[in-house]
Amino acid sequence: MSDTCFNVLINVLRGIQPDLAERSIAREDSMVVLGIDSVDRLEVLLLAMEELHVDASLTRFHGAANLGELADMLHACRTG
Amino acid sequence: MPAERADPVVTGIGVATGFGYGKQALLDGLMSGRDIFTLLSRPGRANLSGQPPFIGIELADPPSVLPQRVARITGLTGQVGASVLHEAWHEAGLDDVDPERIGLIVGGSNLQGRAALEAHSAFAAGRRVVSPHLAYTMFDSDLCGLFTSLFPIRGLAQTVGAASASGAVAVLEAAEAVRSGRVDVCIAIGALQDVSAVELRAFQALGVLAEPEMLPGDACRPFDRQRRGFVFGEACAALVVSRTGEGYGRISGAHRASGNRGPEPSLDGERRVIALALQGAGVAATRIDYVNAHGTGTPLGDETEVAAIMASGLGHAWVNASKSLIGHGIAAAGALELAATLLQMRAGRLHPTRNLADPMDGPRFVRDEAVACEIRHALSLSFGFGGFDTAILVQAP
Repeated sequence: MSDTCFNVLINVLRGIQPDLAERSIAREDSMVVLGIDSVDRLEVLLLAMEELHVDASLTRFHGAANLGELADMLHACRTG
Repeated sequence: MPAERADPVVTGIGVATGFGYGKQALLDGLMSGRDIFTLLSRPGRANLSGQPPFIGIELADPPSVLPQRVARITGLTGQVGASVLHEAWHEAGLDDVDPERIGLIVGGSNLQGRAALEAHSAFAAGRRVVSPHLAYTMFDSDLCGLFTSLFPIRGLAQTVGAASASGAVAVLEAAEAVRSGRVDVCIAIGALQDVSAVELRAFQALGVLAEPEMLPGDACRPFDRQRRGFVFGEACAALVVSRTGEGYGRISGAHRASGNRGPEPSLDGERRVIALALQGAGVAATRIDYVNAHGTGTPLGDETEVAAIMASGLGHAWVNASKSLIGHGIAAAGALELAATLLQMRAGRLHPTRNLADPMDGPRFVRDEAVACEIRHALSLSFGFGGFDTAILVQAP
């Protein structure tokens, strides 16, 4: 399951943007909709990859439409 | 319409020093002669194991003027700079000025040594993640991006580097941008030099840093015969340079290269910029009431500056050294000391020079007590490693 990856993403996201602490975040939410700028989005991904011990090219994560899809991609890297 | 060539005027000042944030804190602190030197304790400023800590002055946390998301990715230099810019901006009433006619010049280079050390250390230790924000925050010019994103500045924006004369060069370049007609208002910032322990060790190796074995309050002693070197002090200043307005005083001056690489001062270079500043303003040396000296407390630097002051016919003028009270802000120093000059001019008082127990021969130093003085004309001197010599002449309104 990619739940672990999703939870890591949410924790990293809230660490970077504490003003999201009280907001519920769903798999269907995108970081763009949450107001995260392009560089912060990269930082979230890099920190999540570090925590999940994922070593992959950033280009592999292009096209993720929302946090759920991004979590699935991270999960695929861990198991693939 | 051709640009008016009259000297521009300083219409707004913002400052941060160990005495606190804001002009009043600086003026009160300078006049008090209070000792605020201590041991440096910010992360990234610890000396090597077994070595005495570095002496200096560190600022209190800046007033919060940044949105939380911006503050997270902004280092100390940017946070303090935004605070002093906020103070200067509002004093000068720049909300009413066309943003296209406002410029910004940030003085300083390699400003974020501690942040660089932290990133390099983590990388060397094997951490794979480097913040993507570092790809642009590592440039000093990120300060231009930060400040122009916070304030409606849409004319020119750039940095200038001239080591310890950076702040003064920023002011002179801002004055030229106004004088030439490129903008109507130009803000000069002497940025906070956020030095790391590695850089402080380099200054120590060069023999220009006061000995850490001394008591913090005794170490910084410009123009005293027992001086042993400079003492670092965090500082930042913003000055709004305008074509029109009453303000604090009119400014002009000179900035020249002496042809020296490295730390060697140049008597000829210092004399030259003083002469050029006087000539440019049409003011005789005899009319200079006050000199805010570069006065770092290094043996050769102070000796050379005293010789330049005396050879320039300024032996009658009061001289003090702001660094004796607030330390050496490096990039910030020239702008901060011009701000100190203008504030003293308005107050009609000159601050004491700390630790001037056994002064060098020559100049008329302000020693342990503030003195009342009507200042019509003043000079603020700043010099930097690499042969940067500057003199800014101020004329009271």
